[in-house]
Amino acid sequence: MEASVLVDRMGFLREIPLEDTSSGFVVLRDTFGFVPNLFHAQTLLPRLIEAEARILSAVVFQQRALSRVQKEGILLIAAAAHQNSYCATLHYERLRSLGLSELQIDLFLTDHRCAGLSRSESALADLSLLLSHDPTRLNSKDIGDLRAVGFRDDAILEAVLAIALARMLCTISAGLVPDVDFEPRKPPFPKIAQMWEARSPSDDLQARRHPAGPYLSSPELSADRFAPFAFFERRLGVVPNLFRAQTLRPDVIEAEAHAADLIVANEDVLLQVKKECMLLVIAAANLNTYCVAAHCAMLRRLGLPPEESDQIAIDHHQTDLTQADKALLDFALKLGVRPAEFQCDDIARLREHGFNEEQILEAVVTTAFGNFINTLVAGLGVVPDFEPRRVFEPKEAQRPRPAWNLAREVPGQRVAAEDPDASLVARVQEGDFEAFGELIRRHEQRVYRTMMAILRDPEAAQDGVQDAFLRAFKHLPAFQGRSKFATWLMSIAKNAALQLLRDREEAESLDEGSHEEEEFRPRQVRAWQENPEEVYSRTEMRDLVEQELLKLPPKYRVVVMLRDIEQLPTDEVAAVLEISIAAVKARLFRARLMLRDSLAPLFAVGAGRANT
Amino acid sequence: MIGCDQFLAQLGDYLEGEIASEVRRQLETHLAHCRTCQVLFDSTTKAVKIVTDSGSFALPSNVAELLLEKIMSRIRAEGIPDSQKEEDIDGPGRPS
Repeated sequence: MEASVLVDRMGFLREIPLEDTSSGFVVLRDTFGFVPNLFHAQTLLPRLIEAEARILSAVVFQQRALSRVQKEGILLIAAAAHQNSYCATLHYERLRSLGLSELQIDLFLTDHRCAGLSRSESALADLSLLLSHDPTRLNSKDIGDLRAVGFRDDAILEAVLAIALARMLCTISAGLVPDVDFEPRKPPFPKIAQMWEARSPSDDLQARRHPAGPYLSSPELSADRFAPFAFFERRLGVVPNLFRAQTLRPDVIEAEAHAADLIVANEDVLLQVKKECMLLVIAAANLNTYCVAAHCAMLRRLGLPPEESDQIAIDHHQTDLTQADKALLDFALKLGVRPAEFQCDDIARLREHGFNEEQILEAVVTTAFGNFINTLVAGLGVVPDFEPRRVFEPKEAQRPRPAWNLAREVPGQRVAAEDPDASLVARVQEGDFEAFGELIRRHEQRVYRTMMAILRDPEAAQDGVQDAFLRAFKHLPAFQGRSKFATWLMSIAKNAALQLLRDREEAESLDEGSHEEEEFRPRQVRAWQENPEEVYSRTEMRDLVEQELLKLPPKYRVVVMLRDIEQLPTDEVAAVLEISIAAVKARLFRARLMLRDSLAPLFAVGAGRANT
Repeated sequence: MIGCDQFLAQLGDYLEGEIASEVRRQLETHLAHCRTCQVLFDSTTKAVKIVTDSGSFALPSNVAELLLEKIMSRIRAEGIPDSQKEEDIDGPGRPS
């Protein structure tokens, strides 16, 4: 392609003017009313724009089961869940142009459950939030919830497609940083925490026992009547289940197949084998068994031995790939799985390895396409059609992301950037002491619980809270944000509590004990009542649990307190206690079994109050 | 087919939802056939929910407010101290 006129812009890559009548632009103008800058930023490779435009047109522009407002709402919530300001602004403005007021949209975004929506609209927003935030936790029960409010399978398919598409657009925008189309809006972060709270861990677990996918009905389409399926059979020897799961929308399947051809199979810029490797590492990082199996199978067709693709999925740094290829995979992983950390340095790193602008652009869009497919597979519950390669051992499958991807990053800025307390901390550090009051307010409860876990005495714990905050305040000038403020604070609290114990000469140790490895055998084997929480009043229940918690050895109590009561993520508990994640997990599990045993006499069938 | 011992060994990760789908399938197959493990799983899940929902050791709001005031009045009185280097407590290491 002749890149004769170069346009200077703020984005990461250069762009060239493209005829307004190019096929992709025409479709985009139909869909959005104008051509968003996200697409102007890809003019170096018009075939990519065309691929995206076809999917957009099939999913968003075509009027089928869902209305345009419903779909834009889904796209907006998804963009906000991905914290993508560019895409959120785009869909925000679309909704405004469709007649919604700013107030309506803001309410919808911050807490859609309180925005006066119908049950069906609220259910769509729920799905968008769940699938965008953690695809691995979606299950057939969630899809059942949508059916329960009246959605047919074609509507649910459309919703899943829109959510997947949103992730694709967000990934592209994170990678290219297009100029804004409108005054940018910083989307309020949707109330995801409440969503997960509403799904209590036990709901999640019960739901996991429902049968796996595919979640939606899909009429049989034969290869001799549907050209894309004939194409897959010729090319792959099989029609992938991903496409069989979408037969309610043959036009979408066509658009996807076409996009796969234009983005992945085309070898004008990057070789297909490199792009398949990128898709493989993204699938592995997304814990997507289907896609890992599919890309391994594809790589095998392209001549890569299975052991080698396994190793790429597990850790591409431990392979014989060239440094440039490894850099390309690092790039895909960061952009695909941790887009918030993606920066222009990451583009520069690829340039240093000799990649040109077209190649980098194609890498961005390939990554985005990988996220599209991964989200789709998770949302539809597609079952593998290729023998899954055993890539994931449980230890690797840590939510939210595999540690082996994060661990390689330089620690530091990453955490600080995500720390919700960062601005308050900065204000205190600049001398605004009153801001510290808000930090106390935010963390008093968890500091108190940390204290109680170790000191076991409310009065001592209250003194401990003061002590911990004063210590934190005193040392705040030296706090550099290497960890989250909350983690740092609680680790101070823990140390202060242990110091208080030592002063009282009641030295307790939270260290890793020798009997951690010993097996713990649950003793109580009677079944529990159906609704144990109804046996006692809330206050009685709290007193009972507190009693049992106080009986646990301290190192178990502190883990339950932080993980199950304060609901801190496992890695933060590990950081606070300065023990390994494995030790946190082992102690947590053991503590839960101990609590189960000690609570059993109260809640087993025919036990406790129910019996009297 | 896995046995009760293996089920117990994986139950911790299963409860945390941190488990590969194949292993999960094996566990669920075992669960479907083993009454003892069903009881163990069900009761542990319920126990965790009870503990989580109990809100144990909540700091009463009046106490919380009082503590906040006490801490803030100490801070207003003393300001930022100079003795920052007394001991190194700049947070825990990153979890590995």
